[in-house]
Amino acid sequence: MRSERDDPRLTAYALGEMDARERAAFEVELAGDAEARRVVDEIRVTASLVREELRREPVAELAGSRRAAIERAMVEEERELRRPQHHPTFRLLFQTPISPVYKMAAAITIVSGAVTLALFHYLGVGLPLPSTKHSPVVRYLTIPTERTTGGPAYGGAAPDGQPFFLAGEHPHSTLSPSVGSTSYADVKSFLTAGRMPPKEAVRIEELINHFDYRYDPPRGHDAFAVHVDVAGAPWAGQHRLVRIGLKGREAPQEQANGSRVTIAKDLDVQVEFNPGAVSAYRLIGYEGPYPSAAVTGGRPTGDVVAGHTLTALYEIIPAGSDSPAHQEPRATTDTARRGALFDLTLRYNEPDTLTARLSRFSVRDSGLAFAQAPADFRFAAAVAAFGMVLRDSAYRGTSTIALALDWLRDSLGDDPSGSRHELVALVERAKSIMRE
Amino acid sequence: MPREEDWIREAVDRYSGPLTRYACRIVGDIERARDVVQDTFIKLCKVKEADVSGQVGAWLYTVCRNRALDMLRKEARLDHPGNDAFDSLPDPAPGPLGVVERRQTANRTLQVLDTLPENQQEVIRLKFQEEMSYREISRITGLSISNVGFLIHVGIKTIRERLKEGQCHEK
Repeated sequence: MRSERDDPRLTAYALGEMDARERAAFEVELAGDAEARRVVDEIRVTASLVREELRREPVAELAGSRRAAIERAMVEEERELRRPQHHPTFRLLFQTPISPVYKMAAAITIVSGAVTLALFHYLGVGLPLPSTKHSPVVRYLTIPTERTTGGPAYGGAAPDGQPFFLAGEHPHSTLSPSVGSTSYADVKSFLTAGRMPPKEAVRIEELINHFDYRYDPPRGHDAFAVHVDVAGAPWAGQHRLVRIGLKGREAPQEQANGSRVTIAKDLDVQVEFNPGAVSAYRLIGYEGPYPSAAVTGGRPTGDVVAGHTLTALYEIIPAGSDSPAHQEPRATTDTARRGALFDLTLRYNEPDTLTARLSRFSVRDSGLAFAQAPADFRFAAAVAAFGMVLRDSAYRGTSTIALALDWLRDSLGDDPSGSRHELVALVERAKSIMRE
Repeated sequence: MPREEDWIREAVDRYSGPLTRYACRIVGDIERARDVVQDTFIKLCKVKEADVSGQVGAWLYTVCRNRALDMLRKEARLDHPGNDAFDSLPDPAPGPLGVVERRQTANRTLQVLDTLPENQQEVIRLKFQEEMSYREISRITGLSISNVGFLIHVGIKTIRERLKEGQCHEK
């Protein structure tokens, strides 16, 4: 050791700045040097004095106007971040989602598709206990295009659709309880006229929801039935595809006055992904642009009308895969502890009493291959693939117009309304137009 | 549910006061220090939380320091750009308390600190007032870790010895 007073290691040691190995080696030196040990003590005392006195120096607060300026910058940046960057060379886009929370509760019938579902009740503070295990089934009202799902802000367009979000960073995804209904008609018009529809006309979630998936209705007095399937994604071998179907109860006897019955208010549907099972997830569709809140008059009414149905598709990159999206999960959530793929939470208020209802259940992936999935699942996936091809989406994977056509033809099922065959005809038109 | 930008609000709550105090010593007056700190937080808004996670403090001090030095440079109070500026920081400006008031404090520790070269004062304040590690101070100031350790060692040693002298004189 140099002359004790000049050795900076004394101060580093006294202040705890050495790593374990250095510290151990230094302590061996100190053991034989009483003077050095005394100096270390003095350094510590001096350091305490300095620290004490410096702590007493007053801090200077920022004025309210400056904090307000920072707040404004925060909000502007949040809006910037929501606007997706279009990177045509990259398949995966990661962004900060918006997850507004609706304070509601729901009760549902759980209907299992190709998954294992475990129902449990999540009871928030102040919410009344649901009286039965089987909850009322809620139906969705078509809410005008107010966007509530995580993703681009109003007026913003996401050319490739919703990006992948990392489950470890943002496990929560909010589902919009309703979708618009104009895109299918627009696409049909263009193709019938022999032209490819412009990308802005193609809204994949609307195309998916145009079709009837014949979900079983809820049982008894339940307001909602929830149907979930998980199987392989046909356009990306390693990825999983989740179909969430919600069906509300019918109320035929109450339709006598001509208006539809409200069976729930302020519906909220949230999905919480398990970072242990899911690396990243993507809600398919919702490319926008959507009219701004100012145009639609602001908040949705939140009323859910009897008979409404909703289908949503998530594409999932499983945890443990080699994809660049994979990363170690940061959060251990309740969902993760149950080993689920995700948890789904439904909340709403009963229309008459405004009693809050909530139900939450877990979904596990049983590893079904795409080819083994039910026909309606495969049909919905094929519609999504067609939409992604029309939009030339960066997420379309191996989808081509020809493959979309094959997947559609293999999943037509009964098709009593003929709507599925109509789509096949449109896709064939698109295929021939694209060949020109 | 916490909003996405709450981590920024927490950083403002925790660091705006100390950062302003720190900036004030560099730029010389409280209002300009507040300008610097406001700009620093506005820059933080553009950063993703994941990119600074766990190191928000060091990030803030680094950016704040650079902005403060930029401000001084623009006003042509410094002769040299870059890290040389570190050695030629102007004499420490009065903090919110003011030099005059500090001389009235009974404790000699800070009086002695005030007489040290500015580069030692800065790292000592970063270490003992802002609770930064050697590594963080190295990042904030651009000095090597061993340089940081050396400056702190010399500064503490000087304070220690002057305090001892003082005690001898008081006896």
